[in-house]
Amino acid sequence: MTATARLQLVRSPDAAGPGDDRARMAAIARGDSAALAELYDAYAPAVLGFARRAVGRADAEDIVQTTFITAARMAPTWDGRSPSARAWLFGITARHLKERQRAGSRFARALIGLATEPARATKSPSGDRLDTSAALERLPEAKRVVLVLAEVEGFSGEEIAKMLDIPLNTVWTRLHHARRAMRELLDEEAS
Amino acid sequence: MTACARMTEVEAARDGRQALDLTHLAGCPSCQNELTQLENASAALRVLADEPVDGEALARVRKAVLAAQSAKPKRTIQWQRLGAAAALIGCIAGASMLARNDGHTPSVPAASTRIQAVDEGAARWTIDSRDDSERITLSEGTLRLSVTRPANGKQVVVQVPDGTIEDIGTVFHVVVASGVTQEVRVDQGAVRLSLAGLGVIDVRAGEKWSRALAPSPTPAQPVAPVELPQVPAPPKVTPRVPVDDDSSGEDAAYLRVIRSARAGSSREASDAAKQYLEKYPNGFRAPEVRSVIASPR
Repeated sequence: MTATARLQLVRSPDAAGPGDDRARMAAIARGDSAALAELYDAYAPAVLGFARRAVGRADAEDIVQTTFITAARMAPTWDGRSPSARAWLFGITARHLKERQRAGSRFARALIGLATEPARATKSPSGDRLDTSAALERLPEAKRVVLVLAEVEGFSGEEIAKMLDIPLNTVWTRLHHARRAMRELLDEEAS
Repeated sequence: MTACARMTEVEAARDGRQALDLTHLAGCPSCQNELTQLENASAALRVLADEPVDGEALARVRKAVLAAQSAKPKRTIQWQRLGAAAALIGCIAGASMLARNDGHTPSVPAASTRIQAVDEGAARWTIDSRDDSERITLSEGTLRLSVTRPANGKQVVVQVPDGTIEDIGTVFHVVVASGVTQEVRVDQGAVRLSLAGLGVIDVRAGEKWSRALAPSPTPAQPVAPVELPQVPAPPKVTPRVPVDDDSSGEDAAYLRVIRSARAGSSREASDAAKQYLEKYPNGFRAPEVRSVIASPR
């Protein structure tokens, strides 16, 4: 007989969100600015963190702003199946990241890449955080986004597939390659 | 340490895709090491979630978001230039009312085509009723259209900058950006796309056509859901899956192996497996693919 067990990804402490958003979302759908401000205060720090890790500091604020303006506009379409709007908001953010990536021409991206080529990871005197951030920056965006959503934000594979509109299998494959690349980058820095 | 062929199972178990074989883990240093490495990397990444928040940036963006919300125009129903409206834009029925923009609401003919249009993102569109069709011109943005067409109702045609989308009684979304149709997603029914340089493409319920990710003049046949070995909850494979990076290529190669194996063609499965391993010798699915060659069904 074979013993088996289920392992669980450790979820971020705020993975469940700060509570029930149904009343808040209904109010936003009616055009209530105070409710939008509440939603922003509850989730903007997490969305900003995600956007920064996904696209860097320069574009993150624009992404957050677009996310919440879109959320206000789309509030009437929120299905409320989950009491928390967190996954829905991250889905909007992920969609804007994808559109941004799609919109940029190859040439423009090459120029931006030259101008903002991530610094090679350096050994941090103050700890591992800089090393991890630097290694993360060196991953291709598609893999970085999946890795951050899974490991930092604590979303499930199914949630990520829905957010990014990609097959679940592609989520697992990207996650696997991203983890392997991260490991190689961190090993490279350590040696 | 020799790498264990079952090492990928550790990651799959961590992701909740399958149960972990504890008996094997207890006796396999390679898998134990893999688990430790995964946990360490995960812990290092989770530290990033605790990074200090940039309060100034948050305050700046908050102000801009709330300003945009208060500047939002009140919803008014107009029959043209409705792109700024946020939710339900209008229910349009019959022919005569569509050509008018004088505020009158004419009576709705009995067996008329009904169209419900919802702006899902900065849609710029107009509608024109013709003798043979209701013609919606979408020049930019995202529009959701729900069409109810009786047997003798007029056909609905969406004119996009690079072609037409012919409705066949349905609910669908159209995305136009930079003067080109980027995406058509169908919730119910079916639509027929006739886009410049791409020929005619039928998109049915549950399917999505995307220019950026799957430009194809001859649409692929929908792929049946496959049951993946050792994966408890097999994902459904969406037809016309976007192929946008090496991950998708690897998935496609793997699915060819599984499809052949499930169809009972052990030779084809074996050939597909060899092709996979040639291209992805260290691929995510390599251990499973090797097992197909080792033990053909």
